[in-house]
Amino acid sequence: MGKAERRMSIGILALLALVAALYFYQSFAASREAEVYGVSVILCAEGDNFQKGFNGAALEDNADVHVVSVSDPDSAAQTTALERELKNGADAVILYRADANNLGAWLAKNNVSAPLVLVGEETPSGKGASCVTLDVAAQAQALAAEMGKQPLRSVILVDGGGGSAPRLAALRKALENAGFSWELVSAGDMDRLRPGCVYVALDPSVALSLMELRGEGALVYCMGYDAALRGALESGRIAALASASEFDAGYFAMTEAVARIGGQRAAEVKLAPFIACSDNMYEPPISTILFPIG
Amino acid sequence: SRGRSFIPVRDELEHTRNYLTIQQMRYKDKFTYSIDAPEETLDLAVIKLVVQPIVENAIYHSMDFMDGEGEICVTVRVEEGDLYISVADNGIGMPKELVDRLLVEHFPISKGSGVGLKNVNERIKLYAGDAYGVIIESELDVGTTITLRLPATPYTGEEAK
Repeated sequence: MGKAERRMSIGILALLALVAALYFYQSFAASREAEVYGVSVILCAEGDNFQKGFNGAALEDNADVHVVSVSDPDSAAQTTALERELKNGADAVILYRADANNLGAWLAKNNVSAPLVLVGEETPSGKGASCVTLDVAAQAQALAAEMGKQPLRSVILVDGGGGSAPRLAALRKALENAGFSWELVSAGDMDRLRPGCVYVALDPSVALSLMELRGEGALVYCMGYDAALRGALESGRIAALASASEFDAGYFAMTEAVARIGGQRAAEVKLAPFIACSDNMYEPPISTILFPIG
Repeated sequence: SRGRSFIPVRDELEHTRNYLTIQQMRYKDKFTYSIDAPEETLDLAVIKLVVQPIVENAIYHSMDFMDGEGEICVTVRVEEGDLYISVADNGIGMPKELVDRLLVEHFPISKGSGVGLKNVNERIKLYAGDAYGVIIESELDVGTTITLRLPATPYTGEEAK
């Protein structure tokens, strides 16, 4: 083979190699082309930070989110919404703060065609659903430990009647373990809400009422967080509150939904509690939880 | 003291002590307090929630002027068949014109409390008669002593009305 012929052969081989490389690259790129997943999110309660969380994850994971708000307090409306989303072909469904008992009964009777991710303080286990749990037992323990920093050991738990049974059970146990005595009072029973006491509000709306009723003559702690409490937390009218990051709950829920669509097994995520007070509310990590960017 | 109108002095002082503890924390130890009650007074009957508003009055009217040297003293004594509960502070005192108005006009002590001295005075008189009630002594730049005068009646648990 002469020189010219050798050069021509090398050139042809190089060209063939280039073509082959281009072919394989295009095949590879095509296989990685992003899929878009249809995820329905059923909101059974308000949750601005939760929405910021799942929207943030949706952008990262190419999820197309369909949000359904269920304002009907009847828990049957929640499972009706779930059935409708499944029937409409959702790739996965996230349920936020659905009634746990009703949902558990529904799961026991139904085979679900798409992955479910349940988010709340109580999440029924079983039947292959993923759970993102806002761990109230851990919150109650953390709050009891925070309350132990002040000298009074008698506490009044104030219940607004808004379905706070899991929080009440967790608080009773945590307070007893920490050496507190407690009594339970309804938020409407003003005669028993006296100054000079340590109160634990079972939800943010009760905390707001307590501050109106008892002003500055009491120590008020709170289970749960709402943006409406920021001013009171800053001024110290609320001594401390315990909660879990709703933003993280939304983020993990969406990430888990997409992972389940991809075939991964159901996971259970328990969100760690945080304690917020006037001293730490503007410092990370508490500030990023109370004021998430999203 | 659930739902009862009368409680033992012991319980009323316990509530007051808890309240003072909380306020000490809130005001970062700007004041100290003492509660002096002989044993024989602790089981006498007192109208619920009459001492704490007096203490609250002392704190809110004097706190801005206390710099760690504020003192609130609660003392209990029995004299000639009557129960006296006094709350004394070393705050700035009050002018006579204000003292004269306190038991006549409604001055809510702080927002959220809603119980003024007039209310306390009226409750005592309603229960015990016009000879009893709230006595205010105050001197500008010296301090204020507010005394509750009630009949010295043993608490039997049957006074709830």
